[in-house]
Amino acid sequence: MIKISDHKKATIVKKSRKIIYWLFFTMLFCGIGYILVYPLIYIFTTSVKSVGDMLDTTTVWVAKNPTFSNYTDVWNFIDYPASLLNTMTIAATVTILNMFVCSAIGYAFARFRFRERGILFALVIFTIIIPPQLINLPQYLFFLNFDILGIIKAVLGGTLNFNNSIAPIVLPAIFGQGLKTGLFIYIFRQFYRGMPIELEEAGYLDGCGAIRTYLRIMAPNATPAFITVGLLSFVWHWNEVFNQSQFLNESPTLSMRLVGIVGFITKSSQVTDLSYVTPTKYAGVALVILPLIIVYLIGQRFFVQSVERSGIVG
Amino acid sequence: MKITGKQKQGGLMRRKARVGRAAAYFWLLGFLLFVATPIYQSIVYAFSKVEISLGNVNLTFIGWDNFIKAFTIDATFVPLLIDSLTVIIIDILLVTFFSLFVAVMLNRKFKGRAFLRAVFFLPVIITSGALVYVMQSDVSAQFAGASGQQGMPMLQTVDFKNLLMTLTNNNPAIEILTDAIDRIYQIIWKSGVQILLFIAGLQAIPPALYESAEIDGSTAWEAFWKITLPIISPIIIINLVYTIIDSFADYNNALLRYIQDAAFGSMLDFGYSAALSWIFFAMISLLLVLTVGLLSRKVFYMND
Repeated sequence: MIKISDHKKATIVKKSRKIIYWLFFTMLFCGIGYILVYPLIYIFTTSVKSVGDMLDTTTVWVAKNPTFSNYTDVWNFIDYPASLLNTMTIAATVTILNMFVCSAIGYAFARFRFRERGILFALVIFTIIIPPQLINLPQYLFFLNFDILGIIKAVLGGTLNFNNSIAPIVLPAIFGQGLKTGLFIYIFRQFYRGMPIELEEAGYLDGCGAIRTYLRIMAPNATPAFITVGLLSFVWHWNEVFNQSQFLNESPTLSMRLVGIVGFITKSSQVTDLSYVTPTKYAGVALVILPLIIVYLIGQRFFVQSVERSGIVG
Repeated sequence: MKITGKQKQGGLMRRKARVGRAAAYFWLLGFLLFVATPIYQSIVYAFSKVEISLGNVNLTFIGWDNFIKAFTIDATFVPLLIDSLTVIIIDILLVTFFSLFVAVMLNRKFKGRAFLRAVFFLPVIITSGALVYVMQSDVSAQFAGASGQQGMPMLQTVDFKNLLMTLTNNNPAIEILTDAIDRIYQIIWKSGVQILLFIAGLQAIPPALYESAEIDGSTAWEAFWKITLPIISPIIIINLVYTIIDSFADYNNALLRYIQDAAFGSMLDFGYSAALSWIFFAMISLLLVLTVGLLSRKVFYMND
């Protein structure tokens, strides 16, 4: 019988435990990954299928006669460059506003003590949980006859009509309102609350005022929060369709165009024609999400970097 | 005159409070303009009969009639309400556990971490706005029996379930099992934002804490319970709040579609829809107050 020393035994146990651990997580994440990547694979494989591939029941994933004409079709149909520019403008403007405004407000709620703080923050939570469809119609009418306490009417002699402008989407963002901003304020507040007090005290000891301390010390150390909010806000405004289609009829965005394609398909074709239009539709979907994936890949690089940068904490 | 330390600090605190108050009131201004006004309108609608013609809104005050109708006359609303509440309570628990687990795993250093994180971000992209709408129309087309078409074959346990049911002679246990499997898909798909939030929270934990714990001889398991969990407990609260709200605002939520339908679809009754929304809203608030109220005492903030 071969004798194994205790030391060797320990290393073998340790190694095999590591392998089992590795196997378990690889299998788990492959499984979950499959579920998550599935629609993406579906979108891209369907988008290059030709009509023949759609009708051929033996073609499941890989097209036998791949064609890129779906992409050129949909590119022209949705006027891609113009729609992309519209979407970019809205998503980028609102995302930047959200990041800066919500961060400042979140910081105010996290680190300053004043008597009304509790009740005001309760209102922030209130804006998160209020169902959006509750205020859609009144909000729409509000922006069609925009006025603040009759001031605009007194000065300009009439109310402003914000139809076909991006004001109804950008204006609320300036004040930290709009799509899911309550959540963003909440995210920032929780982050700033969790940051060590010593960091802030260091700023005050060095003679910085409250605003300087925030700008120079606290905000740079909250990079993960900024990236998270930035990514979420960008994606949500990129895909948002309800508000945009209410206000931006003359300068359609990508998401409006995409919904438009579906409407066009259901209106103009019989069910049997679906083989012709489905690949085109998915080419449209692919064109809409490609920029998002690129933005994510850029954003997430900062995500990882931010840890190494904020070395001070602790 | 000598200035004592305490007075000095008081001055700083007061100056700080002024800055904080200014930011909070700035937000309040926006709230009054863009949220409070529409909300007031919608409360008025809930108590009125609303008729819209050519952009003009005609209101007739009818008191609590809309609310009474929801609970006594409407046969669909109450079952839908109970249904979506049950689903949400299960979801909250499963999603929170799952996303925390995944986030902790994704926060370790390993090859392909960046790729995996990108994969877990996909649900955030695909389950929002226009894309949900586009995919949804495909799934429903599949159910409508458009034969020969390839819709999104996301719901294949339907077939699998039928097979199992025939094999086991309609054993009810199978149904529970397949229902659970069906939920796995949904749980994974609903966890995108939560995982992102947890990862951000985990990244903010000072690595020095783990190093010193390791020097003191703690295992990874102990470090998780004693360091990770307390520090990210504020994020757990956000995630709970987010999950509750997200489940309510879900496109697949039958109740929400019913409410929307009441306003813009078959009934065209905006007042009734507003009343339903308010009932629904009261339920969310109750659930939120219960969850946050129960847990906020256990939350740990590094400074307080």
